[in-house]
Amino acid sequence: MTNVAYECITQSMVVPFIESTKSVFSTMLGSDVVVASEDAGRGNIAFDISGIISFSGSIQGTAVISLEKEVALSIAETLLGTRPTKIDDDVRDLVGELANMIGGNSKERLSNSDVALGLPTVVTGKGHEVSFEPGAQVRKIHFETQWGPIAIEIGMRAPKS
Amino acid sequence: MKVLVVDDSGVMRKIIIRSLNAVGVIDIVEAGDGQEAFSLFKSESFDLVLTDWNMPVRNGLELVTDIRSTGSKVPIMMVTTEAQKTQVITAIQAGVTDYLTKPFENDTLRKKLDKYVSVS
Repeated sequence: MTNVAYECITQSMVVPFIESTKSVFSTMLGSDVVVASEDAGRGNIAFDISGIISFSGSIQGTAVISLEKEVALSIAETLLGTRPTKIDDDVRDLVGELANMIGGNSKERLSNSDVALGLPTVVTGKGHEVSFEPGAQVRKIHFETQWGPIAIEIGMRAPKS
Repeated sequence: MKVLVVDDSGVMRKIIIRSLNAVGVIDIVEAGDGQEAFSLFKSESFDLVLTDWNMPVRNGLELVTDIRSTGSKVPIMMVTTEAQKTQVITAIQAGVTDYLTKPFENDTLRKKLDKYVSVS
């Protein structure tokens, strides 16, 4: 019997997210990021803030970018010129926009013309959990940035027939 | 020169406004969605509109259609993550005059803005 969930994410689908993350950080922040590790399977990454973007169409699922508070504040400082003292509206907005740009750039690289992006949402709180839909296959990519670690989780499921 | 900046992301509006300031534009009005932007557009006169595509309430493409339905020829730059050729064509057919995909380098945006500032 074919394991449909297993086929939801292939390496050729993961690479666009890696390249998009590198591109967004390089272009918007003038900073290189490198992949520290990559693993498959479910599970949640416990960071302070996550930006979530959903995909629909021939690719269905969710991408989540997660950051520690200090990393998010440093990125905000780099983009806005002043460092927020806490995770405020600007930082939430920024993380949502990072998810939006990484999602949009990945969509372009995936070359599936019938894929649509949702609007980004943001979750905050130490050790918060982002759950994926039942049946989704999840891949985690850990990056190192000049400010500290970030992670991208991709949860994809087979399109509904 | 008066510019309308439309994006549901306040941070993105700040980044765009910083680039506008860098090319000497200080008369800037902000809107967080297409509906708010069109209300402002009807009540004020603008020389350039910069708009995101994906926004709540009323998106950027709908805003472009609304603006063009008034007969306005104001330059409209779409600044968006939507980068596929078919979408660029859709936007241009709706009346977009310039297109910039996110992520973008500040220099790229500033060069595009320079074009409008120099003719205003």
